[in-house]
Amino acid sequence: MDFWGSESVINNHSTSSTHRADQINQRILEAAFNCVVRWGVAKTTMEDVARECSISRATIYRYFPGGREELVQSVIAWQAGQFLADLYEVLHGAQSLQDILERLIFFSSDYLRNLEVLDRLLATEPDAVIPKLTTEINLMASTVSGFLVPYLREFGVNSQVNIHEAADYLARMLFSFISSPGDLDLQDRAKVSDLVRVELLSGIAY
Amino acid sequence: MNPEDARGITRISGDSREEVTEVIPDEQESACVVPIQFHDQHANRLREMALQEEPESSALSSQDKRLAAIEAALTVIEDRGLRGSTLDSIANECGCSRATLYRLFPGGRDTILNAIVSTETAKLFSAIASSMLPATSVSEAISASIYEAARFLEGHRALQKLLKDEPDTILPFFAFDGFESMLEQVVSFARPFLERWIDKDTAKRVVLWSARLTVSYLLCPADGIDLTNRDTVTRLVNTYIMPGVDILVGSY
Repeated sequence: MDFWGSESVINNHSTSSTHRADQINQRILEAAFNCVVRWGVAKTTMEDVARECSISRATIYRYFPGGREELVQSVIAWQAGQFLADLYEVLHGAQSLQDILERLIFFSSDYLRNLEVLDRLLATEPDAVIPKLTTEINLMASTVSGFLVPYLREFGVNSQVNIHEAADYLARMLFSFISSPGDLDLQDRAKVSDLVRVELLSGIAY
Repeated sequence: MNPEDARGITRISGDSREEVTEVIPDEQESACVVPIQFHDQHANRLREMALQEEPESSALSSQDKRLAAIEAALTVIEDRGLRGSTLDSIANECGCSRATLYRLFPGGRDTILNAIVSTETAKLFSAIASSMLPATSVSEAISASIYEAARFLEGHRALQKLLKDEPDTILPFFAFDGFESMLEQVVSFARPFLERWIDKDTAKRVVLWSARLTVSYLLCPADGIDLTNRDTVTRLVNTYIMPGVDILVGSY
């Protein structure tokens, strides 16, 4: 289907056009993700993505005017969104700040450990991946920070602590420990519990 | 120098040093005598250390020339970024020939860039060390080291230029595996300073903790948190880190 052809399809079904646009957007993202998993970021072309999802290059450019760069960043953002949605599920029903942060670390490090494509990309093309990931991680950190604020209010913090600053501090430290754990084993529950108690919460809620 | 020479030099490796010596006339070597403008005492100390390693009868040792070339390369990076920093532009800034650079740094541009990472890390560590020495308590030492690291990194024009214009070249040092190896270096260097007050394991945790905090706020600034402000750093350390240090000291 060429550019004008796909345009007319959307115009002819204007009532459901938003839904349809979302579907196309989703198909492109999934295709791009599959291509990146298979070939890496540098070797994935718009042509590959077009072939993978059977959508014309022109249409893909209409959805992602910034081209390849924008598409890759969008794939990462889409994956990050999926991750956050799953994370919120996991945190549901947590009984204390300690509990929330332990669950968050445990789930995130497990998720990262099983994300084979990330390991491969970090090993083969760090220059292409890390800046985009860093952008996304900073956005996720501010999302997580906003998410933590009501919990800090609910469970209470030490009197001299500013809740927003503390939430921001927690989000930063969480992402630092999760993305670069060093010799810390984040699947070891006792170690994670100790980390949360000391490095994360000692000044905030103990 | 003519292009013929330049091509010859790019092929030079260990086994053909004689050829290099022939290519570079003496006056070109002395053209590399560039005054080294270090801006702080730590860097000067570094320079003295470097000089001691390789005492030479000539006015400038090759270690000295290497440091001058590194300073020149930093200036070029500040102006043009990493991708614009060609060997020619570095040679030009340094006032020496490409051939001289190749002799000082076998491997050329990549070797110079690696040398920059080493010298700048050494300068950073040296600045942090000097700041921690006069501290009279563990909280003072931590605050001083964060403040000093922040001042160094924020004031590092080449680093800031890369973070702004070519983040892909520099962020791998501050994320994932790259950051882990940087953290390892920081621990082995800074831990002994804290062992004056706390045990080895606690010192390691505190160093890692402070380094993570510093890098996070520098790469992604938060409103109202300026690590080059002493009071802010002291407040952060006392609020978030010291209660944890107290727990650790009590538990080991």
